[in-house]
Parts: sequence; structure tokens; C-alpha cells
Amino acid sequence: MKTITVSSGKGGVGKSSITAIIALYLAKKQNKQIVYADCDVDAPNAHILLNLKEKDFYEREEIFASEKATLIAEKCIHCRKCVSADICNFNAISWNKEKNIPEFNKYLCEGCGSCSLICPVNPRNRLCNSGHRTDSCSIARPFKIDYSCQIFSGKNRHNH
Amino acid sequence: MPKTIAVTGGKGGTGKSTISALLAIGLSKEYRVLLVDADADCPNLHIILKAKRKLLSEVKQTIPKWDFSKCIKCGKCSQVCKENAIIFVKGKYPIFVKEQCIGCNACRIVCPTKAIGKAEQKIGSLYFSEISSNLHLISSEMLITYEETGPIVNALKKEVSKLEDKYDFIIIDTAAGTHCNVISALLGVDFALAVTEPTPLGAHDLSLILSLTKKLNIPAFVLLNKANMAKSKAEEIRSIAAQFSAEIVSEIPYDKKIFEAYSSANLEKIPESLYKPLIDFIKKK
Repeated sequence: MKTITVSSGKGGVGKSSITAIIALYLAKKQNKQIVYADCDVDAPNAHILLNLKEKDFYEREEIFASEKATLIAEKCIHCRKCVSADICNFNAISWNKEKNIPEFNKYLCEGCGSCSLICPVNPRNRLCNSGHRTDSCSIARPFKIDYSCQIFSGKNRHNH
Repeated sequence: MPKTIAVTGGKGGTGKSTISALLAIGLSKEYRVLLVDADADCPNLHIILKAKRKLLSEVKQTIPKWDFSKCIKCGKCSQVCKENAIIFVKGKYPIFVKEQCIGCNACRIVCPTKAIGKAEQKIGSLYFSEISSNLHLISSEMLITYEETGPIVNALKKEVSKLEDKYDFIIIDTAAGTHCNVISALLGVDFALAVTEPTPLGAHDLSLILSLTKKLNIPAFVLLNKANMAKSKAEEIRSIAAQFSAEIVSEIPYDKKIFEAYSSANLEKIPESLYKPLIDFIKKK
């Protein structure tokens, strides 16, 4: 099998259109078996160019990745260790002075677990890294083209 | 406090950078404007504006550094690293794969003998340019081979927050897509301007970016670029915008003059009448 990556730094130059043309030509005119991977998981468009509808997707798999810190408030002893220097390098934790508890920005959290490791109460339980859905992946098979990759917007990791 | 506007859009090549530049040029006739190039993968504003970039600072990431004289080969650092950047084989010192490291502190926190200290690796650069006395540009650029642009955009925004008192408007040009670098660019702005085009792809990606701004609680407006290219698709764009209660602030037609000005990096040749409604809208907001 040959693997070809269609890439470019700039947006809107025609990566998706060119990819679709190559894939359709090879599949329809050359009768080749093709795996078509739409790796632009932020804004996938291949399914539009190939005119795929919901019913064309024969398999759908949800991908769980990128854990996020969450607070178990009743266990917090307000020690502020999680907001001290050299813990969260992603500015994802701030201290809510009114409630006297940490607050986590899920969009900035990288799920590294540093805050949960420094927490003195019960590092494994208190600031747990709960499984967090980030991406979803779909696969369809039109014209002998395997098509994959779809994403939910608003999630912040995609290299899984 | 300056007004901060993010120019975004989901799809690539819809005109985000051109619109950002035109908006900045237009506003700078009356106001002090800081234009921010947050497309750290492929920054282009300095090219469009023919600006000479002066290095402002290097963006660095903290990475771990082992003192093997203190290391007891327990392997805990490897266990906690979620990026698989630390490989541990029983009885051996840990092996560090710096390309995988995202610069968190987990390994340092968990090390029982404090054998892990800090080092730095360069991940990108920030540049500053003076376009005119009222218009300044700050741009970011990722070091090729580094995997994540989010931290570079965060460093850029930190630098912008230091400078913000000097400006009336801050215009942030984001990358395409809806990934973490776009999220970092969007966080904390007053509103977002989603630049789109009347194509099925433009429509699809517009709904993605508008669902993102909705989730982030950022008011969004839509600019329909190349509006006259496909009438039926323009209608679809209008209905998507309405669905997200995002007002269409302006429609800019596809015009050969714009394309020629863009392809020769001579934005001053674009007739002001084409983008004046946009400037007027932003001024009022």
C-alpha cells in the first residue's frame, strides 16, 4: 500500500479538493481500494466533498482522551497547593476567593495530573482526572473509499 | 481598557488575515491599534502588511532535567507522565523523549529524591513590528517540529496583556480550525468575528466555530466574504448565522481588485468602500 499525505501550511489552497479528486479518480477510474483519512479533525470537510450523508457512516467510534481535572469539593481542605507556583504550567487553575476553592478551566487544562499529584488529602481521589470526551471518530465506505475522522468542536486535544 | 476582537472562522483561506489587516488599517486612522497574529503555525500578517519583524522574545517551555546521582531508578516519573515522554526500564535510568513533553510538572512533583530539576527548550518566537505610529503588529511563530501551538499563543496573549493599556483596539487573527490554539486565542476577547465564504465547506466550518464561541460564551458576528460567489450557499450561511443568533455584520463581494491587492501584498489598493461597513460596525460595538 502507498501512503500519500496532502498537506500545506496555508489554509484554503485546495488540500481537501485535491485529495478528493485524487481519491475519486483512483477509486472510480483505476478501480483501486483506497483508505481516505480526513485528518483535519478541527474542521473536517471530506465528507461534504464526497457528498456523504449520515446513513453512509457504517461505524462510529467515540474517542476518549485528554483527561480534565475536576474538584471533589467536599474533600478540599483549602490548602491552595494546587494553585502554588510550579504546579499547573497551563494557567488552568485559579482560586475562587468567595468559595475558597480552586477552579479549573477545562479549556486550558492539559490533563497532566500535576494538581492531583500535589493534593495532600488523597491525590488519587480528590482532584481526580475524570475521563473526558474530546474527539469522536466516524468511518464510512462510499465508492470503495474508507473515510475517517470527525470531531466535536470545542475540545482541545486532537493528536490522540 | 481596549476592545479586543478575535477574527476567526473555522475554514482556512476565507480571508481572516486580510480582513484582520483591513480592519486594523481602517481603525488605525482614528485609534491606536494592536494587531495580533495568533496563527503561530503559519503567521502571514507581516507579509500582507510588508512589515519587518523585530524579535521580541523567545517562547520557552520548561522541561525536566535529571540528576542521575540522586535518581534511585524507581520509575515513578515514567508512571505519571501522560504524554509517554519518559521511558523506564527496570534497573536503568529513565530515558526522556523531549519531543513528547508538554512541559507539565508531574514528574518533578512525584520524584521522591528530588532528582528532577528544570531545563528549558525553545518552542517559538514572538515578533513586534511598527506598521505606522498608530498600528503595531505582534506575531507569533512556532518552531518547526514542535507539536503544539497552544502554549505559544498563550505566551503571545500574556505579552499582549502587558501592552494593552497603550491601545484602543486589539485585533487577534486566529488560525483556522477549532483546536486549542484557536481556543487560547479566543479566551477573554470581547467578541469574535467569524469570516466565512459561501461554499459547503465554509458553511460546515462556520457552524463548528460558532458552536465553539457559543460554548466559550463569546459573542460572535459573521462576515460573509466573497459573498457573490454562490447565491444559494450565501443563503445557507445566513441561516446558520441566524441559528446561532450571530448577526452578519457585512458582506464583502468577491472583487478582482481585492484579489490583485492581496496577491501583490498591496492592501492599500483595496477600495475602502468595500470594508467600511465593517469598520463602522466595529467602532460602534
